[in-house]
Amino acid sequence: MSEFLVRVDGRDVDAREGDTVASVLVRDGLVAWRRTRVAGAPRGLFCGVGACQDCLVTVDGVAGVRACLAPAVPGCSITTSDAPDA
Amino acid sequence: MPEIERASYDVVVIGAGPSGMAAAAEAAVDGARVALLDQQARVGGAYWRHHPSQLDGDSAAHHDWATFRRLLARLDRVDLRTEHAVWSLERVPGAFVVRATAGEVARRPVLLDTTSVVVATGAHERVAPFSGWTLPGVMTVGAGQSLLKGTLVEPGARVLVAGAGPLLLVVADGLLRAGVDVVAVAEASHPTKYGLHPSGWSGTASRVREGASYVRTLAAHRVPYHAGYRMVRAWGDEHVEHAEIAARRGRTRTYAVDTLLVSDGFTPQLELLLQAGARGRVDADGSLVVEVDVAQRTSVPGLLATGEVTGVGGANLAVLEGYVAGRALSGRAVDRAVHDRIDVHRRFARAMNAVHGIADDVAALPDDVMVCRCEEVTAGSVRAACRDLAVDDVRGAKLMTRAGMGMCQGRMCSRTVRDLVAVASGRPVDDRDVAPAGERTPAFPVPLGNLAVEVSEPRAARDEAGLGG
Repeated sequence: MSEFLVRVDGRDVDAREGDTVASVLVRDGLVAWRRTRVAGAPRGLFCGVGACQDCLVTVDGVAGVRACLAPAVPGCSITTSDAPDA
Repeated sequence: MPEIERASYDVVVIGAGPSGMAAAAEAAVDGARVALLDQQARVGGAYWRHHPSQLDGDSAAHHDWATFRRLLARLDRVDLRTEHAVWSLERVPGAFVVRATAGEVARRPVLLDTTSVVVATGAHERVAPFSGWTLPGVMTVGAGQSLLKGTLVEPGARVLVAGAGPLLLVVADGLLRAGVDVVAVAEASHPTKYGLHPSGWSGTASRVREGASYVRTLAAHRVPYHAGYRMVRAWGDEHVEHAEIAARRGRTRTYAVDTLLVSDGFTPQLELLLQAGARGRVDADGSLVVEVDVAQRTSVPGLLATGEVTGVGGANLAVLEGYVAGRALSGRAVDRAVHDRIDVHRRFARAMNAVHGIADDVAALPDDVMVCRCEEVTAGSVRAACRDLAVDDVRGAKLMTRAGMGMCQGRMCSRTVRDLVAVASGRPVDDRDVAPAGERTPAFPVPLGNLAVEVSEPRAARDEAGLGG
């Protein structure tokens, strides 16, 4: 199984063939990567099939990407909105 | 401004799960131009979610894998368009226009025109709200299963599986085989009720055997199976750490967990069908489904529907319905035996629903429980709108509380809001509560650039594409 690197909030993180952006984040130990607009509550993966819009991240500068659907590609840059300096 | 990719087909199949794969494979004969679209990166849908490394092997981890391999081989004559999220299905004279966004990140606008359409968009899972269900680490059973089957990533280390329906056992079995610690399975129903529906099981012996094998796996791993227990609350600091389940008589059990997988049934994804004007109806399980005839045709000529959008019934039924639709589109007859099998599977689905289709007890939902995850609206806010602002339908609740107005367009909360409003205003749920849930255009949030690109095109180009004035 081929492995490659992606960037998560500026860090190098291992990714594998078949990964989605969400699976990269979950394997890396993250459970939440976004804050809600009203209560500022943490959110991560919920429906897993692109319906709930809870798992949104920014990938290569494109905001509002559904982490559960987007395949992880070598060298892609994932920015969570729950990063320490976000 | 991105450039639109355009293409023309005889048949466009939307959704590449079991049903869509069967429909596309069967329709692609005699030189018919067939496209099969799915928003996922790989075909197979949730049922055949797989890791790319498993594609060439005889995988024991998947059900009916031989069927998947056979259908996949027959898709070589089909224009396979994965990573295509369809956000609009429009009926134009004698044809349909399908608008999609290709690539979750790239977001290229795609416009297809086609004579016929098969909508096989399946269903997403429904979770009845409980206190703490918005905490990270709480996700649908299907989300956990997707991680495990599609990416070989374990959703957590200590997992409680809760809700209602046979999927709970399927995923618990998969987790245990992957070495995950499943602390318990909580099923709201009592499987002893299976005995009340003997006619539902006839002709489906393999399904019954399958269920028994899952129960044996649980027993072998000494995983408690709590029948008659439902989720009450989850709590933790920033993510789920504890989950409490309760029996109807009030007995509770608490588990320390890092992950909670929940499923209370399914919501068919009807958006595109309703956009195109297909007639819907409320199914036995309370979900909105689309009406089809014996050849899977909807009320809109040229528009067919197969699989869960016609009534939640599982993958075996979905494949058969896809087959029937594909045969109908290619003008070929369907053997009587196929329709008999379809009847068997529909009876099975009805029996399963009779056992597991437990009505949500929205009257008992505490006021402080979030019902709309996107706009963070509580049950109490919806009740207050009914009580103080004379709201008596879903639309009113949406306007007054913002429930259902967020990014998921009401997919996660509309059924709960509908039931809350019905209870609070003291009337039964009727059609006017159900229909608005499906009126979503675009069917997914679409970048403004992709909407604008078409509007700004010269009129001649639009005419050429059959869009008229």
